[in-house]
Amino acid sequence: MTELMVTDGPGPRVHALVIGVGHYPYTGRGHGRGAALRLLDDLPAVTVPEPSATKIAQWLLATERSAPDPPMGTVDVLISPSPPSPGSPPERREPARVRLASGQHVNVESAAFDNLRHAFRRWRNRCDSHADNIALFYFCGHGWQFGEQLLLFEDLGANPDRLLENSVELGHIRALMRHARARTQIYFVDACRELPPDLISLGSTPGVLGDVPLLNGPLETIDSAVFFSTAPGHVAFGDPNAATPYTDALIASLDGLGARRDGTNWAVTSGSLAANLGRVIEWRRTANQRQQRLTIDNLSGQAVLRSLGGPPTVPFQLTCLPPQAPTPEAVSFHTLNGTTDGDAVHVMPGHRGTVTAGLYRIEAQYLQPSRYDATPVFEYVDAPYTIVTVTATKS
Amino acid sequence: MTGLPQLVVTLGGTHLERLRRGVGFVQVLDARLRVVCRVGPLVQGAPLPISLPAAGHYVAQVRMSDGEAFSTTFEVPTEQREATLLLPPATVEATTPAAGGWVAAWRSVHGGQSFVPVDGDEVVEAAGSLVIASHAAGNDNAVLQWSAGGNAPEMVTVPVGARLRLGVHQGASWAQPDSDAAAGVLQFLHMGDIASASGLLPGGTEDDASADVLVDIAAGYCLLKSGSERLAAHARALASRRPYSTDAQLLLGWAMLHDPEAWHLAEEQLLHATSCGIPVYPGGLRLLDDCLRLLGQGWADAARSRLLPYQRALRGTALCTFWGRDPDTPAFRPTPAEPPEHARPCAFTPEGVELSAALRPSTEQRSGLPDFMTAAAARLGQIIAMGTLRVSTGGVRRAETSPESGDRGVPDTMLTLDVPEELRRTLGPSVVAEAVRTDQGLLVILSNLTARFVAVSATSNTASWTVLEPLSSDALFGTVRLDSGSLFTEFHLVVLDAP
Repeated sequence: MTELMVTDGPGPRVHALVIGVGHYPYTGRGHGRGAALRLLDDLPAVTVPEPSATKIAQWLLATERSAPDPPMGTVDVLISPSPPSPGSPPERREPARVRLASGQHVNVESAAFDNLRHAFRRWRNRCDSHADNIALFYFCGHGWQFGEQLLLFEDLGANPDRLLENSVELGHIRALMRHARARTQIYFVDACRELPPDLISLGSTPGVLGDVPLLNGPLETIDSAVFFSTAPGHVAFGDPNAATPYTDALIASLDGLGARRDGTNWAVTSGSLAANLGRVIEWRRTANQRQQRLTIDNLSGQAVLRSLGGPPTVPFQLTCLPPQAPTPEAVSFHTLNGTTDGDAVHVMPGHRGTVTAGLYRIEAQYLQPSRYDATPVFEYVDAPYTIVTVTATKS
Repeated sequence: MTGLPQLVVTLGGTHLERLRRGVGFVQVLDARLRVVCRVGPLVQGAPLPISLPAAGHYVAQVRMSDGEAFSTTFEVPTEQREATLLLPPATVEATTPAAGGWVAAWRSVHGGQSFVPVDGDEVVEAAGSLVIASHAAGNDNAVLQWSAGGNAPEMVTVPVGARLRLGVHQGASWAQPDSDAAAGVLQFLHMGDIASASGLLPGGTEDDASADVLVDIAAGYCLLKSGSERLAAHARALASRRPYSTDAQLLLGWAMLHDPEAWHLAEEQLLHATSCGIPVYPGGLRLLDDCLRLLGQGWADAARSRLLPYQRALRGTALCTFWGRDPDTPAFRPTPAEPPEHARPCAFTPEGVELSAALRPSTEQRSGLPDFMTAAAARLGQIIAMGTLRVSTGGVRRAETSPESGDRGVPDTMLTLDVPEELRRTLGPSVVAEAVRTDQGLLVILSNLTARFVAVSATSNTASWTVLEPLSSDALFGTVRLDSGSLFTEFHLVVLDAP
């Protein structure tokens, strides 16, 4: 059992279930026959789930939450680390470790289906304890889009005659969670969403975590958004042995880039996260990374996931026009009451920097003597990022 | 503020070149970052007037439904209170060349369990967009299938009477509501931007039907996703106006599931929703799946199983779009297919879809003919007459000359073909039809003709039609390809009003 307690006691809490499956011992070994064999053999080795799930779990454990947000309650973690070399026997593997806020490391259970069954029950019961609880679900591993999203667990294919026995439909998890009292239930799924034709012909049925109770009263209105890292029919990806771009962008968004201003308050809500997360992924994408199409299902309501104490620090990029004009020596950001936010920024083409979100008068300074001058521009530097254009004129 | 020059705020700046077709939502903030107005839909090239409370600095934050977001600051001089926001028109789409293709409509029958063709002339053109005009009893959500530029056919669900724009851009097909409000709301919802979607909703009460049912449906999903208490009233009014709309009935079913007084009636309501066809909005299909999982009864499981192929095939667009040969067999990958029998040829241009003048052959024209003929004829052009020519019994003779065989000095077998009476009425009472096998295929010659545009085929391949060329003032000829060594006993022939 790897339920990590952060804040015990009564009252609403955030309860998270974090899963990373980086090891599938029954794949790539010629296990099974026919369609099952092809499906298992077509699943490549993955090295991103362990660092991704570890990073999310550690962020949840270490990030301070302030009133009025419910504090972090529990983080249940299941991680199957990638083997040091493909084909390593399972018994020789070390369990994954997660660092607590105290700096201490703890071992966590593997993401085998039976462990999921237990962890899910714990998580659901925790989430059911208070209507203001926030339920967070994070999964990184292999997946198939079989009408509903299938999440594949470590022992997938252990019984090749029931290939999908150790997988679960996300829709099934959500249906079970519909009966938990937590009104905010957010799902993050970083997994492929392809549909292999063999899966249809196979006719296997996914695993079940419990009976979905029949309705015995009106449904509560809940926010049950699902943030998929990729679109149906597409693959998810990341650089080997590192957290995925989706995971990194998710953490950056929860830290502030996914926030929206509401009156005088800044908060990351399910709605603002939905509007910004895809843009954060795109902003952070490097030239050698493929474009990723975040998709969001079942978003409803505007549940506050995290309140910020003030405006977040957000990135910007300076663009200097016209192209033939020299690059300004420096650019400074002034709030409208005359204060300068930080030091003047020295500019290079395509320069990126960060500044506190807000409305600024932005001044560009050119080296003297210069034939160019720039009229100050007013720009609202907003989350998740802003492109600031400075236009020079001949003086 | 008459007498003052109009303040036009040009939005977009350097972002313009990256803009594609899209609808935007604008939020204007004052210098203290208070929201002073929220307006939309912002459409490229269409001025959007706004009123401002005072002179000063403002920020127009724009969110486009294609994901683009940017802001433009502007200053309003003293005494000025009115301004016009303008997003210059994008130039990208104007360069998209026209592409040929076809469209075909289908409607669901048997309680939403299968689809049947909608007559081609029930698909009508309306200023570049398409509308399915037929109102079949017990059915509201139809499926429009189309193929542009030789792409594999795609399908999209659309309510009867709603305008839909289809197009092809950089080789990829797209479909979106003609209404900017509906397109914007659905696209924003699809992207997860509920705030922008809500900002585009037209005002009015739940009982007010907008001009486009897609706007009402989009508004319903927006209310659902924003957790609005107005959903129940909106859904009830919409379901009353569109009693066979899947989306309307689903929205009402969802609202009933949350109603302490009506939750126990929701099951029947959702059963009705599943009998109306496929929702327009893909989120609706997933919502239906959620509902059916919660109900979990025999009929609900059966309905889930029936809808599962559509969920698998969803293409990740703001409308329910999928590939496939027909709506009964949605495919999750492009599936090349011939146009169905009831397809109408059309052109996809930057301005919209132009349906060809071709009409589906009449029942009389189709009488006794194989199905593939009417399908093929529909893509060739407007049909004047059609029929089958059969080899005349005892009508074989040695050809003395022919354009192909004469040069070789080897007489070929010339076949005389019987021309049915219905074709003689169009081709001329004295028409003579003959064919001769050559190295290239079958040379067909029609003489003593009055009609000028004729196509023939000797196979049941709908793509293999040959339009005959003039041989003389009253004769046409053409070579029909045949598979090597194949035999034939009949020709299929259509008379067109234009090639």
